[in-house]
Amino acid sequence: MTRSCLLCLSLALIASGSLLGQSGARTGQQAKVKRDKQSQKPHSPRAEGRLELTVREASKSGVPIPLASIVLQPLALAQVSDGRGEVRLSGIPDGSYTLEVSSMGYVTERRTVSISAGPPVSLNVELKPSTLALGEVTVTATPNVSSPSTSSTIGRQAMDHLQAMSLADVMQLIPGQLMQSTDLTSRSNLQLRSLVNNSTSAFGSSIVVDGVPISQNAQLTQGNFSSTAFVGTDLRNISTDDLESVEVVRGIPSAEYGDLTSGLVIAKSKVGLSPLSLRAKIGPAVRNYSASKGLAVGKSRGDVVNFSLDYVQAWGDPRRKTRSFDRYIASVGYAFRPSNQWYTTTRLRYGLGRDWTGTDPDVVADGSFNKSMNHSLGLTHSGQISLGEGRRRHSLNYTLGLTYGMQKTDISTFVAVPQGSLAIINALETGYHDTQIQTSSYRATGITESRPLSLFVKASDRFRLRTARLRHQLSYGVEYRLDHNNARGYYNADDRYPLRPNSNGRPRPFRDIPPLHQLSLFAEDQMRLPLGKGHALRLHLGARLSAQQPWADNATLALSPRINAGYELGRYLELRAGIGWSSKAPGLAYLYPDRRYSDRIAVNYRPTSNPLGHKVVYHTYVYDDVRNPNLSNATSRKIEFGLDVKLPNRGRLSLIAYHDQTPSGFEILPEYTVYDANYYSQTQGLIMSPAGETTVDWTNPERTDKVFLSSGKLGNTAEAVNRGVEMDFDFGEIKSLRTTVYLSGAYSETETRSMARQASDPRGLPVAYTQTGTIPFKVFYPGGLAYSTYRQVVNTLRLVTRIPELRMVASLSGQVVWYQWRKDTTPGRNPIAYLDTNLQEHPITEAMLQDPSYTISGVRLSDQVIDTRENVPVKQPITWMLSARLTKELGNVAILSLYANNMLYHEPFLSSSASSTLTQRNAGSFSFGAELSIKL
Amino acid sequence: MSAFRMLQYRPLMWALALLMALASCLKEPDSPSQGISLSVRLGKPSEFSSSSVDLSGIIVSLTSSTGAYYEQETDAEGVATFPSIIPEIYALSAVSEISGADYTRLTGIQVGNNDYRLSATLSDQVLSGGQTLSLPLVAQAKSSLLISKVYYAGSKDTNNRNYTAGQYVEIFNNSDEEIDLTGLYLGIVESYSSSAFFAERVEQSAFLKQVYRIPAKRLAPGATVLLVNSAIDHRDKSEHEQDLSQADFEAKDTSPRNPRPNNADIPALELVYTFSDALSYMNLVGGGPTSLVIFRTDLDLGSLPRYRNTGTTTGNGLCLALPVETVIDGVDLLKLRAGTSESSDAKKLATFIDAGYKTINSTTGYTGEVVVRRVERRESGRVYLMDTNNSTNDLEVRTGVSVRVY
Repeated sequence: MTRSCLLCLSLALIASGSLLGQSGARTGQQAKVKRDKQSQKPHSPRAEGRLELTVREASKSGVPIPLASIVLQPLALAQVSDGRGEVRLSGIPDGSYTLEVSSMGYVTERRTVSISAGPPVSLNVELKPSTLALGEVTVTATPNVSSPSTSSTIGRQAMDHLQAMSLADVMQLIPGQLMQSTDLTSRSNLQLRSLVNNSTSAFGSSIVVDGVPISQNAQLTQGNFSSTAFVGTDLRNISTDDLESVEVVRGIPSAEYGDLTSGLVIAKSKVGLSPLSLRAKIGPAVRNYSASKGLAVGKSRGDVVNFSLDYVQAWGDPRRKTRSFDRYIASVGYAFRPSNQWYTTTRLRYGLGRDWTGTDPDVVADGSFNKSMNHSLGLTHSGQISLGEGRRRHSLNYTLGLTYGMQKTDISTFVAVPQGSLAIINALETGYHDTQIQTSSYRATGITESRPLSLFVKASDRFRLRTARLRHQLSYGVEYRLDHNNARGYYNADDRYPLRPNSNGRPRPFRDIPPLHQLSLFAEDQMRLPLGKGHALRLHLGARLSAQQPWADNATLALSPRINAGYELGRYLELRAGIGWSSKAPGLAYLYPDRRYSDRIAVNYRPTSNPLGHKVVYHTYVYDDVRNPNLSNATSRKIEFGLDVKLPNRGRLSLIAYHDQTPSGFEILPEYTVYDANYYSQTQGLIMSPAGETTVDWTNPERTDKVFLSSGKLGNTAEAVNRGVEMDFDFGEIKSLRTTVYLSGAYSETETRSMARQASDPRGLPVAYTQTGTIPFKVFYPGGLAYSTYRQVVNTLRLVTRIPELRMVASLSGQVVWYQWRKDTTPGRNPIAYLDTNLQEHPITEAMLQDPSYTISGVRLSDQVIDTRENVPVKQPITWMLSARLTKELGNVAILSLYANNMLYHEPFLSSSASSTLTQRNAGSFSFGAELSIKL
Repeated sequence: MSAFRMLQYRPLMWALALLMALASCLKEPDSPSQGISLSVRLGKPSEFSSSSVDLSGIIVSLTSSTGAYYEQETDAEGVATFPSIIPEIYALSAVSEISGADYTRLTGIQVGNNDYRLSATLSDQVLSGGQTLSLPLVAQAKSSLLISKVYYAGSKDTNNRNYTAGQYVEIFNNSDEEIDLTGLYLGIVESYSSSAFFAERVEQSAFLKQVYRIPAKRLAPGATVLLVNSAIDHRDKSEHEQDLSQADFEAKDTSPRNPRPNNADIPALELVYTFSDALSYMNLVGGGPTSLVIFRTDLDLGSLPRYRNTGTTTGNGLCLALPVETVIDGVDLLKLRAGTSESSDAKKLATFIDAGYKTINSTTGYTGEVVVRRVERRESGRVYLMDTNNSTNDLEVRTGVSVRVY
C-alpha cells in the first residue's frame, strides 16, 4: 500500500514537474512575446523557425526511411521519421545547427543547417546504405569525445568485423582490456579498470539493455557469502547480433544511471527496417546462427516490427567435449508512434542459456554432471513524448522493464568420504539430533532454483533553459526498482544423500527473503558557456539520491553527486576533468545472508562388538542474527583528468588519467558469537549396555565446549583502488596504404585490501584445545595493513585497411602486455585485542607484548605476533599476441568474415620472476572461425 | 733335530700344560703363582678425534679355546691388567656403549639418538705373559627401531573418490633384542610445499607439525608395531586397503565434525602436539610430503621453540623445532613434482638422518602406493631390514602390501 502510494507520488511529482517546467516556460514565452512586441525588432534572435525533413534511401528507388533518428545539435532536439520518412520540427530558435540523421544500416548523415523565422526550411536527406564500398567503416571502438563521461561506442560494423558472439567479446576493444578468445562455456562478468576479479566491482557494473538495467539484486545462490563466487551480469547471455550499438562508460556516468559503482554498458537493440538477414558463425569450438528482420507495419507503414532469433552452441575445448554452453534468444521489437509527439518501442525477449559440465567419457564415466538452465523473459517498453515547442519543449521519457528469470542448477556427483565416516545432518533447529553416518562415498544431487523477478520503472523529463550566457539542458527523473526471488532455492534431491553434507549445504527457500525496493531521484544540468574564439566551457552537474528498503530497518540512503567539466580550446583541443560518486545498493544476497549452521559431534560411540549400541549424536547450532542493519551502499569515487586532441588527417588523441576508489565493498565482517555444545563420552554421559542400545544422560556431559562461530554478517570493508592512464590514439589514414592506424593502451594499477580488523584463531594452542577443536579466544589484528597491488601496461595496435573497390576491410591487431606485476604486502602485525568466550573484548597492550612469557588462557601471546613477510613481487614476462580479421562483401547479398585470434599460435611456456615453474601464456587464446551473413 | 721334534710335539706339550693348568685352575682358581700377567690397552676408535677419550671402566674379557675365562675392568688409562692367567690361546674382546650424543661429542660427527656400541675383538692370541696387547675399539651404531612402512597415499574407492582413512605407519625392531617402546615419540614433519625458513634450518632441527607418544609396548626382535588412524577393516573400500582392526595403536580422532571411525578396543596413540585445530589424527598428506621421525627425548616438548612457516598468512599453525640429535630414525618422504626442473621439494630432514628421500610415483596420491623398507636379509624366519640411513636406497614403493609383512 505504502509502496504503491510512494510510486504514485513520485510519478505525480514527475508529471507536475514537467507541467511546472512547461508553465514556467510558457510564462517566459508570453513575457518574451510581450518584450518582442515592445522592442518591435523584426529580426529578433529569439525568433523561431521550422524544419521539414524527408529521409530517403540514396538509391534509384529512393524509398522513404521510417524511424530514422533526427537530432538537431546542440539543441539535442530529437525526433523520429514517420512512415513516409517525414519529420517536422518546429519552434527552433534562429541559428545554425548540426543536423544528424541516422538509421540502422545506413551511414549517418551530418550537415549544417541554418534556421530562421519564416517559411519552414525543407530538406531532403538521402542516407547511403552502409557498405564496405563506401570506405567509411569503423571497426574499432570510438571514444565519445563530446560526451560528459569517458566512454567508447562500438557500432554494428565493429561488432560484425569482430564477429562477436556475446557482449564479452566486445569488451576487448576498450583501451586497456586484453584481447582474448572468450570461452563461452565459462561465465564472464564485466571488470572495467580492475586488474583482479573483484566481486564488488563486478556486482557494481551495470549493463543497460534498451534502457532497462539487468538487475543482479535478486540473484541468489546456495550457501553463505563467498568472495570468489561469480557475481555480476553474465555477459554470455547477451547476444550482439541483435544490437545496434554498445556504449561502454568507464568514467563518471550520467546521474540518470544508478545502482552501480564501476562501469556502465549501454546496449541498444536494433530498431528499424531491415531485410531478412541470416548469419552463421562457425569455429572449431563454437557455432552461432542468427536471423533477423525488420518490417514495416501499420496503416502508414510507419511502425516497425523487428524479429530476431539467435542460437549459440559452444564447447570449452573442441577436443574434449566435457563442457558445453547453449544459448537461445528470441526477441520481438515493436516501434510504434501513437502520435507525432509520442514514440514508443516495446520489446519482448526470451533467452535460454544452458551450461553443462560432465566427466570426460575417456577417463571415468561415473555420470557426474553439472548443468544449469537459465531462462529469462523480459519485457521492455520505453517511450518518448515531446511536449511543447522549441525552447519550451519538454521531452518526457519513460521506461518500463519487467524481467523474470527461471534458473535451475543441477549438480550430481559422488560425494567423497575420505575419512571413512560422514555425518548426514539435516537439522534446521538448534539442539541435539541423532545422526546417520555414511561410511562410503555416495551419489548425491543438489538443485538450486532461482527465480529472480525484477521490475524497473523510470520516468524523466528533459528540457532546455538559458540563463544569461549559459545554455542548460536539464533533466530530472525518478526511478523505482523491485527485485524479488520467488523460488524454492537450494535443496537436495534426496535428503539422505546431501550434496554438501556440511554446515553450508542446508536447504534455503529464496522465497522467504523479502523483496527489495529501491527508489531513486536524479537531476542533471548540462551547461555550456561559449566564451568566444572557439573557447567554451562545458559543465555537467548531476546528483542522484537512492533509497533502498526505505521503510525497513536495513534501509540505505545514498546521495551521489558528480561534476564533469570540459574546456574547449579552439577546434583542436579539449581539456576535461571530473569527480563523481556513485553507489551500488547491496542486493538480496548481501542484505539477507543465509542462516549460519554449526554442527559438532556430541556423541560418537560405535563399539565394534555391539552394533545395536551405536550412537552418533550431533549438536546443531543455528544462528539467525545474520543481517547487518548497518550495511550501506558500496560507494565509489572517480576522479578523472583528460585531454582530447583532434589531429589532421581525421586523427585524434585521447588521454585520460583516472583514480577510482571503492572503499566500501562488501565482505564478511570479523564478528563472532559463542555457543555451548556438550560432549558425552563412554566415561561420562553415556549409559551403555553390553548388547543393548546406548542412551545419553543429557545432564551429565563429559565436557561443555565453548564454540566460536562467525556471525556471517556483511560489512562495507573491502577497499579497491584502481588508477592509471588510458590512451586512445587514432593516427588517421595513411592514404597510400589505405590503412588507418589506431594505438590504444593503458597503464593500470589496482590495489585491494580489507579495512576490517583481521580476526584469527590463536596459534600454538595447548593440545587440550586442539584436540577438541575449540579455541579459548579470537585474536584481532589491525586491518588495512596488508594489501595486494597489481600493475599492468598494455598496448594494442590496430591496422585497419579498407579497400572500397574490393568491398573489403582487413584488420590486424597486435597486443603487447609489456608489464604485469603483482605484489602482496604483508607487514608484521601485533595483536591488538582478543575476544574471550564470554564475547568480552580485551585490548592487548604494549606491556603485554613486551613480556615474552605473557600467556592468555595458557596460550603464549608471543606466538600471536605476525612476522613481516618479505614478499617478492611477481613480474610476468612480456607477452604478445596477433589477431587478424577480414570482412568482404560478396555483392549486395552476402558478407564473408574470417578471423584468427592469436594467429601465430604464440602460446609459449615462460616463467615469472618469482618462480622457475614454466606456465603457458596466452593459453587458450588461439581460435579461428568464419562468418557468412546473407541479406535477402 | 730335537728342536724340530720339540716343535712337532709342541701342541701336545701345550695340551699337557693346558690340562695341568685346567686341573690347577679347577683346584685353585685364584692361585696367582701359576699364571702369567697380561696388560691389554684399549685403543680409541679411529674416528674419535678427541684425545681425552675416557676408556676407563670397560670390561675386557679373555676366553680361551678350552673355556678359561678372565675379565678385568680398564683403569683410567684404558688398560686392563690381568695379573695371572694361564698361558693359552685366547680370544680377547671388549664391549662398551656410548650415547649418540657422546659419539657426536667425541667425533664431531652429527648422529641421531641411537646408542653406539664400542667393541673390539682379537682372536687366536697366544698369550705367553708379560705382554701389553693393544686392542683397538670400533664404534658402530646399534641398529634398533626403524620406520619400516608408511601408507600415506590413500586410495580411490569403488566410486573413484578419495579414501584416506586407511593410512598407517609401521615401526620395526631391527635389533636382536626386545625393545621397550614406552615413551617413544612419532613426529610428523611439516608438509608445507614451500618453506624456505624451515629448509634453511633443517640440519639443526626437525620441524614437527604433530607429535604422538606410544604409551607402553615392548617390541620383540623382528616385530612390528602398527599405528593407524582408524583401526577398522577397510578392505571393502578399495583393493588397496587393509584390515587395520588388529592395529597396536590408534590416533583417536577428536574432530568435532566427521571424525574418522575409531575402534574403542585399540589403545590410543597419545597426542602430544598438533599444529592445527582439531587435527588429532595423524595428518599424513596423501601425495606427500609426509616425512616422519621417531625420537626419544627427556626435553619438555612444550618448551621447544615453535616456528611458523614464514611467508604465509595468519592461519598457519606453529611447528615444533625438535633438536635433530634426539632422532632415532627418520624417513624423508617428499612430494613428487612432475613437469618441473626439480623432482621433489626441498629435503625436510637432515642428511645424517636420511641422506636421500623417497616419493611415491604419483603427485597427488590416492593410488594405494605404500613406502616399504627393503629386506636386507632373512635368517631362519627372521627378517632384517635395510638401514643405510638413505631412503633412496632403503625404501621402495609398492602396492598390494599387507600390514606387518615384509
